[in-house]
Amino acid sequence: MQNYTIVQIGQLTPILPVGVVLATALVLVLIDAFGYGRRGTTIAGVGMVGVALSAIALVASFPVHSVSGFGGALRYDGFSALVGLAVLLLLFLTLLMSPPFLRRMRIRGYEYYPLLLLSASGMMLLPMMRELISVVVGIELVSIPLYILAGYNRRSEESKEAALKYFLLGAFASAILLYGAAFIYGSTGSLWLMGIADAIPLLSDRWMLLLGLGLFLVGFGFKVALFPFHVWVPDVYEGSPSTVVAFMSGAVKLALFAVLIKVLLGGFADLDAFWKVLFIWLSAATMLGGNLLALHQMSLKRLLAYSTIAHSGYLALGVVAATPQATSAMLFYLLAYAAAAIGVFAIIAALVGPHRDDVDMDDVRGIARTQPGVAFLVTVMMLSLAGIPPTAGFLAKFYLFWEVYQAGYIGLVIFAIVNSMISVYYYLRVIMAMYLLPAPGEEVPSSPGSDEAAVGTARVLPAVAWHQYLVGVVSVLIILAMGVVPGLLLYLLNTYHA
Amino acid sequence: MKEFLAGAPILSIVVFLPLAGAAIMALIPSDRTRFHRWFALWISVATFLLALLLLPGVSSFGEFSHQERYLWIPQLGINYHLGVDGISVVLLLFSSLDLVLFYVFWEGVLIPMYLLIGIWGSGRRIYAAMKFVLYTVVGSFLMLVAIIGLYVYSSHYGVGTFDFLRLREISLPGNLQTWFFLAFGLAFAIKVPIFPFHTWLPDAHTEAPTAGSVLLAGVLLKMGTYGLIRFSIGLFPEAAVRFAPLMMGLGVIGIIYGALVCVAQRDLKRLVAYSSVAHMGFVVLGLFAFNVQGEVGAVIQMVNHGVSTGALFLLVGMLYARRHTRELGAFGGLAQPMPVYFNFFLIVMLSSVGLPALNGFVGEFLILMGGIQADWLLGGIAVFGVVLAAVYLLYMFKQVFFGPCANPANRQLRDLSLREVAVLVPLVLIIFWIGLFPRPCLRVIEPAVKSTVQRVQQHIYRTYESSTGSIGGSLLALDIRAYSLEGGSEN
Repeated sequence: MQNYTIVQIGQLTPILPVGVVLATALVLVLIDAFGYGRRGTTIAGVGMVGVALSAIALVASFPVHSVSGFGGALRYDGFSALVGLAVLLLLFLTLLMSPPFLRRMRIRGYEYYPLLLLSASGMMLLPMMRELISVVVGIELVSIPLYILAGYNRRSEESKEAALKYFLLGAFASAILLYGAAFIYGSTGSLWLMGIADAIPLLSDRWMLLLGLGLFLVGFGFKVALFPFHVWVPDVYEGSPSTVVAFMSGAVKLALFAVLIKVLLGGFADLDAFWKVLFIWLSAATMLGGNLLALHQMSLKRLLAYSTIAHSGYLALGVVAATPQATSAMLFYLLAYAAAAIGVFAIIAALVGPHRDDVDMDDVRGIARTQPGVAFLVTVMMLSLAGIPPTAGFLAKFYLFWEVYQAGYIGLVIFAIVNSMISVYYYLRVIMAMYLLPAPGEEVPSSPGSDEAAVGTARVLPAVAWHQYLVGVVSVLIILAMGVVPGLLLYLLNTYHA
Repeated sequence: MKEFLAGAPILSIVVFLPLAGAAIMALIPSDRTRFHRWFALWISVATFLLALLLLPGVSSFGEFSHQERYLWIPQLGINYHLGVDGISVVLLLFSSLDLVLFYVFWEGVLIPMYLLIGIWGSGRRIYAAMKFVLYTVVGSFLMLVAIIGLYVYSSHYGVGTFDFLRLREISLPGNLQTWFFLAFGLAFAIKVPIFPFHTWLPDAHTEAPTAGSVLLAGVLLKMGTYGLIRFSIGLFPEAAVRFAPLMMGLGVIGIIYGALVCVAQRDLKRLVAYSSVAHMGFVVLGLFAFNVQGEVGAVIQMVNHGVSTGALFLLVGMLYARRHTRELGAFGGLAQPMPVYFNFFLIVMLSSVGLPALNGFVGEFLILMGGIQADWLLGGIAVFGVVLAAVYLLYMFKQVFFGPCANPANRQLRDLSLREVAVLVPLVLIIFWIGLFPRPCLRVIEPAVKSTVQRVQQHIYRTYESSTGSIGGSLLALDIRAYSLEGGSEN
């Protein structure tokens, strides 16, 4: 079966799992409309069932060979299916951890859950897109529910600020994306990636195409938070409800990097000299900027926001390498990052207070004595983010850097590794606060020349609810499994690279 | 018994038994302290006994034995490959033969050590813990670059590999060797620590709890020197030879500098910590002398340092537990109230000085022999290090134990308890054993060292023949057969 034939019967197979998610979203709206599920647990539960059904549909229709549909606007392959599965897992965990969080923050209104599902359906569709307008629409489908969700904590000024910033900059980025797509269309006469790829060698004058591609990539840069288009990230992360951040930090990256690499490889492979140079600088600046800005953050959410920027930088390395193996490495890295990120934010969502949706470094002091299990989970996640074995983060960095090295970018790999060293410092600060510093009200073992500052006015943390604890445990299990026995996953990724 | 053991993956069991023990302990409520203590002790004893079982199988031809090789992450060419030879089995127990596996274990030590220093340390423990980790991480990440680089290079010769034994057979071009040697070397140099990279050590040692200091001295520093002999020298012999004068020089600077700082030191634990810098200087000197004496001496000295310095840390820790100070000036005349302590301290201190018949002598003597053969000037300077060691250790000893017991707090000090004696006796036995009968130890180490040295020698000759290298004639004059230890000088 050739890749580009239109398979009539298989038309709907690619979008069946997405359809299940969309249908579930509608069901959730109806449940709310008919007055069931005032506690939110019902809605979340039904949502989880829908997500599970979608995952079953996805596994059952797993595309061993890629399938095209909708006149070639979609191509369903193993790579997009793997991304879809990961998004579904993240969505499932987010639904699991949300009810106790929303209750504690006294957030009402149950559009929350359908919106999550809508955004996830966009994420599942994106990696299949083979046509620029569909890509832009897909990105909008991902983003618009997230704009709303960012501002979902209506009584919080920070949340409103986050939503506004996210919306304005996001809309701006979408406009730039669309503008870029228009230029590309103008010069190549096609919006299909295939058509663009065919037209590029015939072009005598490429400036308009390069301008279009440049704008298109700048738009992407905004969406995946590449330096210097990252400025919205810390505020949005700090203000948005923690469960929303838990979902979007991993899942948005997953979907957008997946579609980015497919667009570049599918449509613009001939221009690789142009976008590789662009991404060399973007990735270097993003890694360095993210890591340096993260060093002295006091708020955990802001720290993780800068860390997420840094991780975007590492991922951009995969775009630079742009070999099929490098795309597998990128996907592995994305999964490792998403696993750790959703775990950390689940724990944060469990520890926030009713009046402020954030946790400070001072707040988690001494949590190793009061909630040792939580401290252990967070430690594993931090080590994974820092890239220390035997966690998924280490293997992900190793795998990615290895592929980039093989693609010939040795200097960039060394630069990335220097950045990883810098990042160890701030991840370690979190571990330090949890284990080494005294909790509020805890007696400090006095010793001469002690370097501990006096305990500030840190709040007493609530105990972690089992929902969030479970998400943390799942996250840590994934991290350790990916770090110690990654064989099956690597096999899948190698077989179904982009 | 032997047949039964033949098939069992003893090496893996030895490696993972402590981990399993720790996992079980994490599940037992922490208030059952007695259980935890005894369980930890028995796990350690069992591990040690199992490790002893490895000894008879160690090859006398310098090959690796007890090899275990499983596919771990075949997609990335990473295998689970363990194996020991005479060098690693003595240094219980560094057995990874896959570079990535080695890296995983190498980093695995980091976080427990960080918490050990950070939680149970004293004074500026957080600063010390952070410094320790950052120094180590800087080194190890560079090593990671080199590991990936080695793989990429080896893939030019068929399938890329992280396997030490296969990488060893590939001869790398000179400039690549230089870079890789520097990357690996920096990681190990920080861990050892070699002179300009040593500044984390006094802080970490001083602030760490006694157990942490012992672990640092006994195990962590050995990771650095072991890495040097196995990977830096084993994989990049040409570069190792090229950098030998520099490394020997740094080793000697470490010896003299560490000793001089010790002379001026007023904090007991810091003094012992800096004496570590000096001792490790000896090891580096021996390793890069590239003759059998130097190398064997270096391996023995690694063991010695673990035993003697570990014991010194224990002793200082015992004193600290009683008096809560490590100031040299706070003590004096302790020989009176603590006679048993005095005797133990005397033996350990003299072993650290390098008195004949104790273990320190064997190692230092061999190293100095090797060092002087390789470079008479550096070796000659290193001899002064031995003298300085005697100066600062005897001075410290005098300050602590002799003179009038003026301070009333000192007069009431309890002598060692039975438990403390039980900890020290095995160490003292090892001190005498290596000092008086080093033969069995040497026999295990020698073949492995010989094969390493031989490989380096081949490279020296090769470099000489192409007459591109700038190696001193003194190194070329060496012929390992002529200096074989068979007619050994002190046993």
